[in-house]
Amino acid sequence: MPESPGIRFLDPAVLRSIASLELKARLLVEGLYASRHRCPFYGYSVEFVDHREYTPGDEPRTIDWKMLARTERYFVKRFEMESNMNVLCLLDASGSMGYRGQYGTRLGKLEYACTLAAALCYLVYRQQDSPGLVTFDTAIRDFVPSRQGQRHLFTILARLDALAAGGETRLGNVFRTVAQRLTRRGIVVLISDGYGDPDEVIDGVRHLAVRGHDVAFFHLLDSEEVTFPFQALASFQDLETGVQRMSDPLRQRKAYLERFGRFREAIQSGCDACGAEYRFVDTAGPIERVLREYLLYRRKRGR
Amino acid sequence: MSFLFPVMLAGLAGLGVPAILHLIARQRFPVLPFPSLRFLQQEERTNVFAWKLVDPWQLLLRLLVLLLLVLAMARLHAPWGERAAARNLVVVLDASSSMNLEVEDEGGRRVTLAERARQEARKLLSSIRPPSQCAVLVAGDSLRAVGLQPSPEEALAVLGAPPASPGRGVGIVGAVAAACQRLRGRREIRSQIVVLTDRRASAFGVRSLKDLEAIDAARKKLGSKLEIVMVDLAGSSDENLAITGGRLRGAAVRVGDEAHVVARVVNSSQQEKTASVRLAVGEREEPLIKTVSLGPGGEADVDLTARVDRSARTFAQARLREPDRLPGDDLFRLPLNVADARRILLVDGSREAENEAAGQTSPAVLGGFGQAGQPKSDAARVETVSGAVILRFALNPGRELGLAYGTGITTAAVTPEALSGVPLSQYEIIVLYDVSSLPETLLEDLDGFVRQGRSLLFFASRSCHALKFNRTFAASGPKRSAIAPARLGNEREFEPPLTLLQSGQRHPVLAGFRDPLQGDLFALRFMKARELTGLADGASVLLAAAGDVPLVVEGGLDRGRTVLFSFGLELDQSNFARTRVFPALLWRLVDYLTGQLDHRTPDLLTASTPGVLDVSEPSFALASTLELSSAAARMEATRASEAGRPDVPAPAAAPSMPIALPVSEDRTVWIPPLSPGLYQLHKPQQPGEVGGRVTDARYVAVNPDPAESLMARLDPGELTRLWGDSVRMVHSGEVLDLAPNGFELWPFLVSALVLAYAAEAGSGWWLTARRERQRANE
Repeated sequence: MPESPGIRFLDPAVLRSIASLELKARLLVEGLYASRHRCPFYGYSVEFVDHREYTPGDEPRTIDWKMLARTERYFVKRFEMESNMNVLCLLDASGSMGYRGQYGTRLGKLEYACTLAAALCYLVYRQQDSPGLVTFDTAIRDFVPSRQGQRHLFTILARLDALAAGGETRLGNVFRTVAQRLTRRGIVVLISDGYGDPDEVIDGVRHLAVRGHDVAFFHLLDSEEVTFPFQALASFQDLETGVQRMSDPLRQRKAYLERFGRFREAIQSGCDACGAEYRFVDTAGPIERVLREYLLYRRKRGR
Repeated sequence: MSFLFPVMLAGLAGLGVPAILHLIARQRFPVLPFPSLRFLQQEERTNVFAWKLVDPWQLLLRLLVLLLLVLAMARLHAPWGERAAARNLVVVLDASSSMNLEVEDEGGRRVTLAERARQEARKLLSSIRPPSQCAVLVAGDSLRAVGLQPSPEEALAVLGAPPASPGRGVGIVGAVAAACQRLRGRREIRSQIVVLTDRRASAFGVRSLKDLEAIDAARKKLGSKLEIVMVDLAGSSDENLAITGGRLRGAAVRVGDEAHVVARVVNSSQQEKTASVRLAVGEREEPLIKTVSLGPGGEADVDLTARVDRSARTFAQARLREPDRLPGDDLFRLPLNVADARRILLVDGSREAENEAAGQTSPAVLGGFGQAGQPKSDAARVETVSGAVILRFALNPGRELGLAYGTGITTAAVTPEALSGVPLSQYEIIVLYDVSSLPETLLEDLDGFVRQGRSLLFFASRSCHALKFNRTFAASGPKRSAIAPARLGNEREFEPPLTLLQSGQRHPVLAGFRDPLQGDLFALRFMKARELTGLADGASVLLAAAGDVPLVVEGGLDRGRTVLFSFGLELDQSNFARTRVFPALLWRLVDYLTGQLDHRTPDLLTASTPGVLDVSEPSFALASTLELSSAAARMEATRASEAGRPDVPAPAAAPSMPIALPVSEDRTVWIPPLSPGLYQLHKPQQPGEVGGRVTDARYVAVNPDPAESLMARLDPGELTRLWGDSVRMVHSGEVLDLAPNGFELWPFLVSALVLAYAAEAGSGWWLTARRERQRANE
């Protein structure tokens, strides 16, 4: 029986490792359906949160009579309503994501990202939330809005399967577009190497964050980009622009690592400043560990 | 200093390659795809085409390595020091026969020049040390060689073999050309061809264009490295007396006569010399020694005589009595065929013969015939002397006058009446002088005589009765045919006297008698002659006078010949007996009638030169192959056989004998080059046959090349014209001084090359390590 497209990205080992975990919204999310996530809307089947003073027009049913008896003043109760969560994966499919390290047999960056995105979408689906997918390079390539259902999951997987790296990176533009199209607050998971103007990247992330989205930035890089292990003189060719630059790795390694560290710090600090969650991912590390640590971290940090 | 292989210096052009590479070497870097170049800076490329040398010291070391390699391959040679440099040496030994000249060596011992040449060659070869190489060429009959790279022992072994050629050999020019061929491809500081020779011009006379071109090509290729050294072994030794030629005087030698051998004696010395020459016929030496004085370079013909008593095929040898230092040319051999004397019976039918027979005249008148200052009282008698007497005198004047030499003719005279008591078979020719008639039985005998291959001459002068003559000789009988070739007519007198017809006198007997010095037929005048008519069938006019008057008619009868003279020999008949032609013509007529008109010249060949001999004689008829054997061997075998010792082996001097010679269609045989000596040409011997009958064998004499006896030496200027500056002449004492000095520098160059290469490799390694350290530090 032919395999469904994208199934290959559902790594059983990865799924097994996160089988007991769930992705919880860190912030309030707005879902269509009652689910496990806190919803900013007050209504039934919600959790009591606090009191506020009665103002004419409030529904009398919300008056806390016990509080009246105690204080001879009128107060109303406020409740949080649990709803289903939209999780949108923004997957960078620019040319730089096509890099596969020279040494070792590990996955290329795009494959790693697709596997990570597929695992997240599956987790979301399993916990009856709504996964979605956006692939982009300089512009949005594919926009699969968040929806529930197995069929939708397979749609996402099929899009992942057909994905190929190419083109340049322009994150800021893409984030703004995505932010405009998102009508409900949810979790936005950005999986990218972040190669663009760092200010543009941070600006884009901020665009999403200020709209109330729970943004998580998986800064995905290959181990060789991180450590720059090259020895011999070579002509390095940019995967996005095709420009070649002859470089002596031995001579430039130190400077490279410094610049790279600064770039990474800029991204991280920018994410921190706008409330987005920053996760550095080295493709040398197993995906299941990355995902598990992330989910555990969120559980620990979540309310 | 010089280079042995200068063409390798073209490798110096390769010195530019490292320099250019140092300037333009561009590294080719691998292209690595990388996600982003934002963190990388463009490297400054130092290895681009820029007029700036990188690592100049390493470049210099590389250039030094290349330079040393090129110099080593070009084989730089330094002419310093006293050590002999390597050389290619070819020793050429002149093995022509003039090298048999005896000289005195340093110890006063007499050795031949050939032996001295071998001694000098041994000295040269013994001085050769590796890497020098040597070869030996012996220029004898053929060119014998020991190839390049023999051991001196091998070369010396070749020298031990006797190389002398009996002739002038293949020539020095050919040997030098062959030596040049052996030097091809060999490169040393000197390529020497040392020719050990006596510098006789004859050895240098054999030159072919191919040889001269080969030498010229070697000179162009090797240039100043080629040296042709002529070592003059003869020095001032050039005294030689030689017998360079010989011939028989006269057409043939006959029993009872004397053989005249004329020997050509040459004095090649610078002083006057006296030569004593002696003749030997067969194995018998003549007692008479002829002596002749010759000035420097003089030549003389010495007439040597020997009396021969029996017919034989033998040989004559003229020999210098005192052998000199070149003994090979002191002897000249000559085949000698001694034919039987011709016996002629003269039947004198003249009246004087009758009177003489009757004792009425004295034959002493013959003693005065032909002598100057004869008494007047005899002068008138001379005019009327019988022609028969004149004929007898003319046929063999020496015998008649008691002189030393004769014509090989013996005559006997009888009257017609006494003819019947004479056995005719003893004679080859019967002359009937003025015989008019004979008994029929005698006529039958004469008929049979002629038919057996003999000859009959008729002389018809005044005493001959024409009618009787015709009835007797011109008519046939019951048991015989007509004998005379024509009918005799009356005697006629001619005023003015008859001369001969100017043209049409083509009979072989008459050949050669047109020269006033030799004898001119046209000096003959005939005052009286008989008419000749009615020529018999097959008869022809041998001699005709003007007006087509036949004077002599020849006819044939079976195997014999008959000749009729229309005149007598009396001086009132013609002036025939007074002319120079007279005796010679008669002898020629006798030769013609006895089948000896054409005399085969003696078979004389020159040593080491091939020849062709005519073998059309009857004794070799039907033979398709003949054999050539050493005469000494055959004589020895014959003697042994006669002495009852048939198994005597052939002498070692002719081990390759006999030689089989196929006879060609034109009845000739080709004789290969032979050593001097006497040989016999004969039919192949049958098994068991020893020696062979002498009559079936023919002597062939091979004598040394006369050119080898001439001591004329090649002028040094001629050598320079031949070979330019490549040739020089030295004396025998300078042979060991010919080696060039110096040594090749390649061992030092190779050592320096190895050191330079090691230094270059070491510096390259140190520079790379330093570069790595620098990068690591950065």
